[in-house]
Amino acid sequence: MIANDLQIISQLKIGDRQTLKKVYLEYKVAFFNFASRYDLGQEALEDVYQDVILVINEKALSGKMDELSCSLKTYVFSVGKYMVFEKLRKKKRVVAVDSDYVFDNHDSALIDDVLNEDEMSPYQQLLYANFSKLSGTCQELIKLFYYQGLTIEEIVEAQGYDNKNVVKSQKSRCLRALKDLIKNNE
Amino acid sequence: MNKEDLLNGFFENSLTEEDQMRFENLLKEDADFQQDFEFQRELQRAIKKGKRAETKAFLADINGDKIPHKTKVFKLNKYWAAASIVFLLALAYTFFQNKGVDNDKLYATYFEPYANVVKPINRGVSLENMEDRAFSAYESGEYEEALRLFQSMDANQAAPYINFYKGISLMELERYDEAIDRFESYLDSQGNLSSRAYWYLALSHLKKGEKDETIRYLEMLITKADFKRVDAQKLLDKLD
Repeated sequence: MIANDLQIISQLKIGDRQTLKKVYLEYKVAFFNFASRYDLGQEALEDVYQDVILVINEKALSGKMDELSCSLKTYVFSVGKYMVFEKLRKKKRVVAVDSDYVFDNHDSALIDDVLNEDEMSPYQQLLYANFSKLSGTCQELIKLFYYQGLTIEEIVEAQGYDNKNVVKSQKSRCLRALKDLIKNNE
Repeated sequence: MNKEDLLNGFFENSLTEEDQMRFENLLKEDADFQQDFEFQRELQRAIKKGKRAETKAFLADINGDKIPHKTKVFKLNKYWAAASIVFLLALAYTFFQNKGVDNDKLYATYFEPYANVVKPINRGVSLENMEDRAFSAYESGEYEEALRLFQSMDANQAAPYINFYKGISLMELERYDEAIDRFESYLDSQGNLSSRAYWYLALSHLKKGEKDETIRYLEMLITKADFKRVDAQKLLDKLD
């Protein structure tokens, strides 16, 4: 991996928005040049490209990009190609199969998840609205575990907790607080 | 492995084959377990969707940035030029007058007491030692009592992190000078909450209106640690 990529990935990992913007702008022109031949339409292409960046962002946040085996650019294009071909496949348009993707099972699951995401259900909206009312500590902890996909062990290290039990009991207290908020809302 | 560990293991994707079987059996047979699982899974979906929507809105906004704004060119006559200078001076005056208020606002935006990450307190269990009692008070937001208990512990025997939590309690009691003193002592002990100490030092100095010190600690935090890096950067930007 290129040193510059490492720097970018470590900034994404801590949720730095300016770096995310930089990544978005860095490969945009090249990606649009490559993908415009598939005739998806400008708007759909923008949507696909944003999804690509979402995947990059989440993979970095989970810490699973620390050992990326190729350059960031190669990875961006690999995810992008896969997404474009999936869109085409759904439109029943046949394209030459390109199987040299650089990602593993975990990546595929994440990409499909982003590609096939539907709207929030009313219950999920209720959960999200109340999640935002929790204390900063609870929001951070819940975000790290359920969104970024860090393990309890990794949270101990990243946040300076004393041990796993402290994280576990803090997390269950946060979940209880969230349940209470929802109950009071009903 | 208890039920909570099984659920955590599921979300961590770390269940062994055997645990996976137990997990599936519980899902079928234990209604409470199933309810807990559904709750956490829905929460995960909700947060992912919410965070993704926020990120997408941020990305869509970047394109907005790039559209060049049409600038209107118009000529100022002398009267308007004079009037606008007066207006700008008035604006600058109010801005500087409000400087102190701004610090308070920023402080209120960013300060929250640090979680008790060292001593899990089990409610309902009698709290025998001083440290447990102090943290119990701390968690309940009784900072005066917490401070009293922290202070009654033998300074030579107390763990270094006690200084850190004394500092937070003092901030809650608006005793910033003493808080600063505690955080500095904590930093001397090189405990693993030192990045947190930088953050709270920055906030204490902010509240005291000491901009240079605030910036110094924020910069130390940003170069040395991941904790609150994004918030620290935001705060720095606002102070500059």
